[in-house]
Formats: sequence, structure tokens, C-alpha cells
Amino acid sequence: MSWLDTFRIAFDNLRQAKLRFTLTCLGVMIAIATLFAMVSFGAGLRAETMGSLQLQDLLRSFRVLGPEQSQYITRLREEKPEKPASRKRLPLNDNLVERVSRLQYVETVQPEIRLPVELQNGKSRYLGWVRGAIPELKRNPPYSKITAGRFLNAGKAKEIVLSRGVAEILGFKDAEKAVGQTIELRTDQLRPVSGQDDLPIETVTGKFRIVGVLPRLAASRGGTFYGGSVIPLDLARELWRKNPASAASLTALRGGLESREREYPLIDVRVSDSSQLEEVRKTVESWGASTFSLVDEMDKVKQAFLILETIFSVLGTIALVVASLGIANVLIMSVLERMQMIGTMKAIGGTDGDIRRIFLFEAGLIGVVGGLAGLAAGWLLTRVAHRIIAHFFLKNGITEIPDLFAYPAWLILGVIGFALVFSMIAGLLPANRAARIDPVKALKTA
Amino acid sequence: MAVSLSHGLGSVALRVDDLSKEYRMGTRTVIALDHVSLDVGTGTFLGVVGRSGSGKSTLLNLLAGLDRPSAGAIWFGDQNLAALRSDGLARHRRHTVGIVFQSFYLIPTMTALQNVAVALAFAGVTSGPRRERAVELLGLVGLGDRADHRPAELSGGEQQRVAIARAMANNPQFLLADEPTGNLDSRTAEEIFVLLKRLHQEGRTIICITHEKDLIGQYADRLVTLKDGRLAAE
Ligand SMILES: Nc1ncnc2c1ncn2[C@@H]1O[C@H](COP(=O)(O)OP(=O)(O)OP(=O)(O)O)[C@@H](O)[C@H]1O
Ligand SMILES: [Mg+2]
Repeated sequence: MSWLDTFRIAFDNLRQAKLRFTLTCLGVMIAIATLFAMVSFGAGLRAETMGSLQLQDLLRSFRVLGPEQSQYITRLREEKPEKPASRKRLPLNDNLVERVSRLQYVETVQPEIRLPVELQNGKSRYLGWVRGAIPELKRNPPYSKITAGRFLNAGKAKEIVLSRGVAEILGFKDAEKAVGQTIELRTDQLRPVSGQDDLPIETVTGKFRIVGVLPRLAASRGGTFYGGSVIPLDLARELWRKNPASAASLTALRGGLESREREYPLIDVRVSDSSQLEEVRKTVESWGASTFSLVDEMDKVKQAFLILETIFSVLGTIALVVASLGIANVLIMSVLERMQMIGTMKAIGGTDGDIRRIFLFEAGLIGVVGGLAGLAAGWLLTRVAHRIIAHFFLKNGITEIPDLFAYPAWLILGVIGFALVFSMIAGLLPANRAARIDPVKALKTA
Repeated sequence: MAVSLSHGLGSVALRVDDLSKEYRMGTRTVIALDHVSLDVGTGTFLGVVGRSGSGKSTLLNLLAGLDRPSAGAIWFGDQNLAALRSDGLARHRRHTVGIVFQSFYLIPTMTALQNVAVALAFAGVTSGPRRERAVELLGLVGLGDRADHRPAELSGGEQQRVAIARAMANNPQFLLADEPTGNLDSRTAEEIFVLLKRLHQEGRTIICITHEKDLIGQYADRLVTLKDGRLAAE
């Protein structure tokens, strides 16, 4: 019998028991919708993370670490600490910044300067940190996404770019209106001591003009709520040198304020292309510096995604196995109900294979119909979920909403293929049973 | 003791050779057919009679290739059914024999036309010619105007005609009927016998089990009697 005729008979058979067919398909639909939604979430999360500009940007940068950070990283990686004496420590100073910036492929070099400050606008105050930034930083997220105002220019102008959260604390509800306003920045500075009971610290105040405000962004796109406020690097460096934020500066105080150069806690290096990262990094390490790059952690990140996706797939597959048992159950029943028809078909010349194919087609039809319905339901489900997520993002003022669900072609085809394969496997037992039925006995059943 | 009966009319179309069929029921063995041998000439209308339980249906199912013998051979031409596997038996049922049962066994969800067409579909006839042939067959059994009726909408006699049309679908040389009139009144039964006779006159070999001893005498040109699984005298 031709495939089309087999299909027609299978389809007619299913039509005879519409409710049963619908319920079985519903089981497959729920399983497929679950599988589809979960894998779509995994894929979406992966795309959002791995494909994000933020990550792409991080993958072409590395950090030269100061002694504190490198110890921390060593501990984090559970590596054996190197003997401190075994290596002459490379100071993280302007000399090193200069040396690294002269290397080929290096795009920007930015020493990390975090300055403890108090910002004030009228009665609103913010106690926290600002960082020093070079103008080139505007190419990287989140600074590349400034919509209100602009980024910092080169030089030592008293300008500041605020993060959205800080701007709000300072009483600027509207980012656009904050731009152009002036706020006060206070920070502590060491000074020479004149008498016995004189404090070696004075607080200096500067008037800074707000030139830009960062938009609210999802964390995966470089968003930061309180962090991210920046002033020009050269200005930050001057203030930071005389800031008593670390013990090092007290030591410096004893020997005279300018006698010993302060070292940076770390230096951020960005190359023009991620393929050149390792080369530059090796060179810097050969000078005796320890470095850190997210590239080292990528394997772990990928592994984490793989685990997540495996868990999702397994859960979805369990649902599909349950649905398949439903298919097998329903088909066994229908074989028993249609004994006489099977006997008749054999009596008029149907082969065992013809009968087997009819039931396999029925199973396959349930799988495909349930699978397609599941695909639609899963898509709907993820869209609704996306709407809900989007709603929360919007409520928090984030307008650039990441889509955490992806629908790659392999997922759509794979899910339908899965539904088909599982339903056919479920149909195998009933179909073989139908095929082996003795026609004489089958015809005797009422 | 097996009795071999040769009719002598024309060539031999079917030869049953020392055929036995036993059923095992736990420890007991039921011998349904006991060393039966029988030659049937081409174009014979053979009537098979016998008491209930004498093995008539068993014999017919073996000839139809629906069941396998315990011993012996069934020769259709030079093909021994006992040697065929399940696909070979299916081909035999499809092309060599047409089978008609007492209970019609039409597929209840299909129309008369579709019931006939399924037999053609199993033989691989494509849908265009299939429809044409099914319409023609229904016309031959006098049901041209009932093509779209489902079995439940047909009388017993009409259902049996559809079953006969279906049995004739692939133009088999043999028509095997197991009490085709068992569920019908005597007038309708006669109509069915007339139809069988017509098919016989077209050159087919007919083997018909029946309890209607009076009627079969008028139509069959040979009569055998089964008794306790053995052939009695003609
Ligand atoms: N599947 C079976 N299992 C066991 N015994 C069987 C089976 N089928 C038939 N028999 C036995 O074989 C014998 C012949 O049965 P068969 O159906 O051939 O009789 P029959 O001549 O067709 O009778 P009827 O005129 O009542 O239809 C009977 O004794 C019956 O009980
Ligand atoms: Mg019988």
C-alpha cells in the first residue's frame, strides 16, 4: 500500500476517536512546549551573555594585577601561591602604563583609580566612589550608550558623568535635566603637619559640572546602578595620590608626601582585537606582572551553560517520555478495539507491514500534531514570559530589554524531530502487536 | 483414512494433499482436519457441507492463507501455501483468492466504495483507477447507487454484495465463501447464490461452505461433505 493511502487510513482511524486523539496530542503538546520553552531560555541566555557587546568587549581586555588582586585570584583558583621571593615585583605605576601603551595592538591602557568621595547637590548627598576615566572609555559599554549628555573629554576639566542611580540620589529625577548642572565633590587630602595635635588630613571641595548621565541597562549589557560615575583620569589621579584611603599613603606621609610614588591596584589593558589579547598579555607577563582575563574563565562559563542546558533538556525529555507512554497506551487500546478491522484488512490482502505502518503513522501523526501545537504553545509561553520580564525591566527604567529567549532553527526543527521520533518509538510496540495479530482469531472477536 | 477425490473436469486448479490441522488446547489436542486430500478443477463451483464443527471453516481458512496447516500441502498451481511466509500468504490473499464471510466484515467507518477501494489500495492501485474500478465492481453486484452508504445504512444482503465486490477487487481466480448466506433470509440467500453463479460462469473457481443443502444443489457442480475433519463421500 502506498504511503499516502497508509496515511489516509491512519488519519481516518484517528478521526474516529477525536477526543482520545485530542487528549493524547495535548500530552505531547505540553511536553513539547515545556521542552521548547526551557531550551529556548537556555539558548537565549547563552546568546544574551556570550553574544553581548559587554562580553565581546571584556574578551579583548585583560588586567595587570597588583599584589592584592593577584593573591586574591590565586586563592580563587585554588592554585599554589608562588614564593614571593621568586619573582621581582613589577610596580604598577605610570612607568608601566607608559610601557604597555607603547606595545603593538594595545588600544587603551587605563589604571584603576577609585576615589572615595562625597557628592552633594543642594541637600542631597551621595557617599561613595568615583573612578578616573580616559576619554577612549566612551567606546565601551556602558559609556557607549550614554543618551543624556556626553562622555568626558581629555584634560583635567572638572566634569563628571553620573550613573543613573547616583543621579537619582542627588535629586535628579530626569537624566536630561541633570546634564549641565553643577554639583560639589568633596574628598580627603593629606597635607603636611605643622603642629603636634594637627590632623594630617583636610577635606577639599570642587565644583563639578555634570556632562552626562548613564542610561539604565540590564546587567548583561554593562548596566551598573551606583557604580560607573567617572571624572577625568588625570584629575582623579591627582586627588587620589593625596587621598589617605590606604595604609600605603600613611607610609608615604612619613617619608614626605611626594617621596614615594603610589602604585595602582590594577591596570586595565584593552587590545584592538581579541585574537591579539594573548600575545600582548604574554609580553606583559614576561615583564613580571600577573594578569587576569575573562578569557581564562570562558571555559567555565561555557561549561555552566552546558550544564544548564542539559538540565533543561532532560526535564523536557522526561515530559516527552511521559507523553510517549500516553501514546503507547492509547494505541494499544485502539489495537484491541480494532481487532476485527485488522483481521479484515489482512483477509483482503494487507501485509503485516501494511498494518504496522498504519499504526506507526497514527503514532507519528499524534507526535507531529502534538509537536506543532507544542511549538506554538511554547512560543506563546516564552513570549508571555518575555513580556513579564520586560515589564519588570521597564518598571526599573531599563528601556533596552534583553530577550532571554532565542528561537534558533535547530531548536524548532529539533523539537519537531524529537516529537516525531519519540511518538514513533512509542508506536512501535502497539504497531508490532497489531502486525502480528492472527487474522483468524482477530475475525472471531466480536 | 484419506479419500482422494478427483473430479476430472478440466485441469486441476487446486490440490489439497494430506492436509491436517490440529489445535492445542492445553493438554488436549483438537483435530480439526484429519489428512484431507482433494483436487479441485479449474472453473469448478464446489459446495462444502457438513455438521457444525466438522472443520469446514478450518479448511477454508487454510485455503485462504489465513491460517497454516499442521501437516500436508495446499497447491495453488505450483505454489504450496504451506511453504509461504506471512508476506507470501498476504500476496496470495490479495491476488489469488477473494474471501467472503458469513458476517460480511465490512469496515464500519468506510462507505461501500471505500470498502472495495481498500482492497485495491493494498494491491497498490493508485487512487484514480481505484475509484473507477470500485464503482465498476459495485455496479456488477447491483449496488451502483449505494456507493456512498456506510455498512450500517445497508441491508444484510447489500452488505454481502459489497463484500463480494471487495473480494473480486483484484480479479482473483478463486472465490472462497464461508457460509455467505448464513445471516440472510432465504430469498436474499438465493440472490447471493445467483451472484456467485454468475461469477462462476465468468470462469472463476468457487468454493462455498453452506448449510443450505437444497439451494447449493442447484448451483454447485460438485459437493463434498466433511465429517469430523475428514472428507466423506460426495
Ligand atoms: N482456534 C481454535 N482453537 C481450538 N479449536 C478450534 C479452533 N478453531 C476451531 N476449532 C475446533 O476445530 C473444529 C472445527 O471447527 P470449524 O470452525 O472448522 O468448524 P465448522 O465446520 O466451520 O463449524 P460451523 O459450521 O459451526 O462453522 C471444531 O471442533 C472447533 O472446536
Ligand atoms: Mg464455520
